[in-house]
Formats: sequence, structure tokens, C-alpha cells
Amino acid sequence: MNRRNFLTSSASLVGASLLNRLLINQSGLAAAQTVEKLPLRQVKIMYICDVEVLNSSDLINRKNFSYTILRNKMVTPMAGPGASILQYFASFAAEVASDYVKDSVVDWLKTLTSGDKKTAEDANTMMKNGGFNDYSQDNVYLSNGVYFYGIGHKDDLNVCAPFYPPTNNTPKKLDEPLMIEGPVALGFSFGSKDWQSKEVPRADGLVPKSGNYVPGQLEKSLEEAMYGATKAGGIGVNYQVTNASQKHGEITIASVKDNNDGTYDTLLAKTYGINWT
Amino acid sequence: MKAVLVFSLSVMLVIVSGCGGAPNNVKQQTLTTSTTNVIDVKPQKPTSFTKVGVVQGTPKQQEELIQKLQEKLAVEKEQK
Repeated sequence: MNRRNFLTSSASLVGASLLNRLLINQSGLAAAQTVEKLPLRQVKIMYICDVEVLNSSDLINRKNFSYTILRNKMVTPMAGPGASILQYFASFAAEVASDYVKDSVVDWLKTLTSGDKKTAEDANTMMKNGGFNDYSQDNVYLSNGVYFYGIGHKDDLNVCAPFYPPTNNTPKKLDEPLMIEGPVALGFSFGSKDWQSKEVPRADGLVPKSGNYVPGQLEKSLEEAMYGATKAGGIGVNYQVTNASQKHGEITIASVKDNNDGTYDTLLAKTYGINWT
Repeated sequence: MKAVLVFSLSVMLVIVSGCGGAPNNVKQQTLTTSTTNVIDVKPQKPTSFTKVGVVQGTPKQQEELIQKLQEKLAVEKEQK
């Protein structure tokens, strides 16, 4: 990426010491207007420029961005109006991840054993054959032992995200991934924003450890809903195109907690309308 | 004596410039630090979808989804 693109359209990751530098920097090169501490290890920074900002006009241009820092290591743009599905997914990942593993799939592959590497490469090949070749936001995350990342489709609309659950077959650590696509991935992201349970962390209620693979794209209704097992219980997402001519659809997401006595508590149940072009 | 004075002045000069007294030096320090900590999130592509919002009056869809989800979980538990 050239420097201009970096300045105009990207966010940056900053370490804790660097964050402090930003906050106390007296030079005017970098500044943060609002810092809000959030639970766990997350710090949300509103209206922050990044460390590459060189003058005040850049600051002004960047005022509508906000970022999340996870373990003082990762900054991800919070998805909002104008964001792509890939960015929505990145935002979801930042919400539920307990760890930021690598900033690219390629770097992550280098850390894997041969068996795990083959598992991941097979998944990537499958995605590539399906048109998912946009690695522009391929940060790798970890949550509840599940590694995952999002890859965009060449149509610039859809996304596919493999979720690799852990396996007990040592030395192989990764099991075959559950592929989450298009509207299901979008449902995850919307659901994470509306998560209200204080008892169950959103990662426990939203990150699937296993489930049924449901091919999905915004232009078509799902043939069947996606159901997955989570740490808390389970998650389900359905998507139906409700008006094809007007390119409108509805995503329904539900997450439940398994009380292990035959009963379930509903943690989340929402339906969202979307339009696509 | 002159040599000592020149040496002392040189040391002081190095310390002052190392502290980033001049704005340009501060900028350079910041950028240098950033390269070791910064991972950029890549450029934004033009969006082609819009979130309309939460759809009201859809409890039936949600109830059906929850019911089937619970059935699936129960079956999975039995199989284990």
C-alpha cells in the first residue's frame, strides 16, 4: 500500500506505549479527542488519528473513524454506514476475539504445523475456487479456541469466513473449518452489536465451534438456516430475500444458552433488513 | 581543555537532538515507533449493501429459528 492510501483510507495498530504517546503527544502530529475504557482488554478510541498523521488536515479527515484496540495490539475500524460486509465482519471479529493472532493469513500459515497448514490451505483453496480472493482484511483472530478470518468475494459484496475449531488429535491442532458466508456473517456482526447479555459474553454466544455449512450470498435466500454450537449453547441464522426486484432481504439471528437441564435461555433474537446493489 | 569543551558540546548536541527537541525529530521518532507497532487495516472498498435496520414485528421468524435451534442442540446432545 502506498503512503497516500495509508493516510487516507486505512487505520493503524498501535501498542500501549504508542497509545500513550498519542495521548500525551504535544507536537500536534497525533491526538485523540476521546478515550473510553471498556471492559476486558478493550479500549475504544473515538476520533483518533493514527500515528502516521502528519498535519491537522489529516486529523479532520479522520474524525469519523473509530477503532478498537484488543490486547493493546489491534485496531479495527468499527463498521458503520458505508462499511462493506468484510469490514462488518472485521468489526465482529474485534468484538468477539480474545486474541489477535496475525495480521495476515499468509503470516499465520507460517506458524502452523504441516497438518494444520494443509487444513487451512485446503480451506483457502476451496474459497478461492468459489471466488473468495479478497484478502484485504485477512487478519486472523482467536476466540474460545477457534481461529477465524474473513475473505471477501471478487464481487466486492459477499464474504466467507472459515472457523477452525480445536481438535484433540495432536499434534494437529485445527479441525476442518466451518465456513460462514455472506448473510450469515453479516448476521453475526449485527448480532454482536446488539448483544445485551451481561451474564454470557458475546464470544460465548456468537462464535460457532461447529455447525452446518450453508452456502450463502445476499442475492439468494438460504436454502436452510445455519445452526451452530457455541460455548454457551447454540446460534442460528436465517436469511430470506423478501423483495428480489428491490434487492431487499431479512436476516434473522438467534442465540441461546443451554442450561443443561433441557431448557434454554434466549440470549439474542433479532431480525435485520438489508438492501444491496 | 579545548578538546574537552568540544567533546562536551558534541555530547550535549547529541542529547538535545536525541530528545527530539525539534518538531521534525519528534515526527521522525513517532514514525519510527509506529513501524514496529502498526499494522494497517486495509483500504475500504465501495460498499454495495446497506443495513436498513431492525425489522419490527417479526417474532414468528425468530421463534421458529429458536425452536429449530433448540431441537438441533438436543439431537446433538443425544448423539454425544
